[in-house]
Amino acid sequence: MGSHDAHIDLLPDDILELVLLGLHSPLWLLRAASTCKRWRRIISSAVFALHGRRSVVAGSYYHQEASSLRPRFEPSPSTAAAIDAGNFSLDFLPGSISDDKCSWTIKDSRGSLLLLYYYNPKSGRRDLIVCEPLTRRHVVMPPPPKPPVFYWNAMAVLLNGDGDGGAIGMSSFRVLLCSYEYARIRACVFTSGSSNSSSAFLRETSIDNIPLSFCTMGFTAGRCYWQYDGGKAVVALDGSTLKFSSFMLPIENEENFRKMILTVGRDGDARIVAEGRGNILKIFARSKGGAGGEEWELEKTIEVTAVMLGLPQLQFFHLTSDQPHDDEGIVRIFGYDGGRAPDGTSMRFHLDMETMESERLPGCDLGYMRQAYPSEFPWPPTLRACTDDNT
Amino acid sequence: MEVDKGKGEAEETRKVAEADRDTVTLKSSDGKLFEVSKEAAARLSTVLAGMIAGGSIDDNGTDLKQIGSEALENVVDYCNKHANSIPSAALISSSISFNTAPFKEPEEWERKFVDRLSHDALFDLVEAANFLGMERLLDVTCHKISEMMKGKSPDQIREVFNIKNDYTKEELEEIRQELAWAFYDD
Repeated sequence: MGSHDAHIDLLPDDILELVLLGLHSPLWLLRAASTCKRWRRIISSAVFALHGRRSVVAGSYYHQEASSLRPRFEPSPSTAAAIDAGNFSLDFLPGSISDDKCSWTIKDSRGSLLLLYYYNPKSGRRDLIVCEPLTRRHVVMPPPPKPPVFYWNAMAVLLNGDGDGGAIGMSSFRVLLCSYEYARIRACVFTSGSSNSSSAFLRETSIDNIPLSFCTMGFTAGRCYWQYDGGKAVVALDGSTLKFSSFMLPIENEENFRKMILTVGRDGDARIVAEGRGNILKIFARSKGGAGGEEWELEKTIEVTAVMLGLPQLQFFHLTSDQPHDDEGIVRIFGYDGGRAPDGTSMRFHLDMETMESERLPGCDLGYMRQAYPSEFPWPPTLRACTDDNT
Repeated sequence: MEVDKGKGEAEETRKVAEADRDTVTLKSSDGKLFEVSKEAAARLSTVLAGMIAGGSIDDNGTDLKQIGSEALENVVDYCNKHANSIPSAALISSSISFNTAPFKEPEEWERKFVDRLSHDALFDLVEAANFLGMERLLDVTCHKISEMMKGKSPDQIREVFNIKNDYTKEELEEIRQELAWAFYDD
């Protein structure tokens, strides 16, 4: 080990791994991984071993006030210094930047991908677009078979694909498009195609006899949910098996809910949270065991004013429109004073459904406009050309 | 003191004296001898701690055949400096994580200590620290190498560390396309 032959290449893998993980920014790691194959192998396997498919949130996309403007990106505090937010711009997507008649809607985000709906009344185009902003790649979903889909109230969800070990990326994703037409909920699935710039219609399924008064609840823990008949009737669609199931929630006839939302419990299973009069939250969960069809039961009733002691000025509580999707066991609540205090106090909280602990959130409530669509760095780096070798 | 001391007693006294010495002598691969604080050596190196506890320390210089004199001098220097600085329990490295720094931040004197080293001396010291099971010194030296990579393009990293680029032209083009965002200032 004389100094004449000292070289970074002579360091054993585990030491080099220690050095490389010391970079601890996706940006520096990717640059280091691009220097030579050995470094890329060490970085990919080390980061994979440490974090599996979990990635680092680079920031979030938000709708703009004018829907003709493409959604804007806000970096998260930890990445703001490391990377130019301009790299996340959606200016690479087709269509004229200055067209003020078209509209852009974020439908979903997952991993490093965004799912957007683009409508151009002039050309009549209605496109579902999957894109990866950082690598400036996009793919337009092919039109589903007839009848045409009514996009305006459709729910579209990004799901992990079958390729690349079930990860999500431009070469491995699925899109679940659920629309309502003629008393029917129809679900179409698209998948990433054989090349990185294509996608294909996979199959469709539907369920009949859904009244027009239905409400879309959203997607959580692998399933889409809709409810009707005051929340008593619920329909769920499994995103991977494409099987519909219907069940009833144990709700009394006289009960009247202002709002129903979806969240996830600590056990990873879905919860339906219903907001009743008098600051009451009712939490419904799927019954464990039980033969035959799916059954749900009332898991808990929360009196919000009782768990929000110490904040007597707040009189009314509502579930917010932007519920956290990845915080298990948490619901987001908006509390306000009903105009009693001169300064019109309002606050947002996270309420832990198990421990009843509440945590005040910074900032005020801006409603659905502030729905954040988090975007992660593409990770681990795929470097497709290099995936065949293991040198 | 007793005038008439038996041989066994003398042996006993010598052993006690040896155990009482507060330094140990280490010998580099090229035969140079270095004195190091026994307390610091035992605290900072799992390998030396094992040798001291196991009584395999040679008073005339414990052979460390894997370590050259320059690296050993730095190891000893580090240990002695450490013995003089305030020992803190927080010096044990934390577990590696992607989001948080895998190292406890080096202290100011540790930073200065590695900053003055040449590349060659730094890599040699990393290997010596690894061989001697010196977790803290390993962290400090690896941290220094990480710092040298930050803010550099792949080309610059290759240049600094004299790394051979073994990607093919096609692979490089693909990397450039896919990771353009990571190289925006090139």
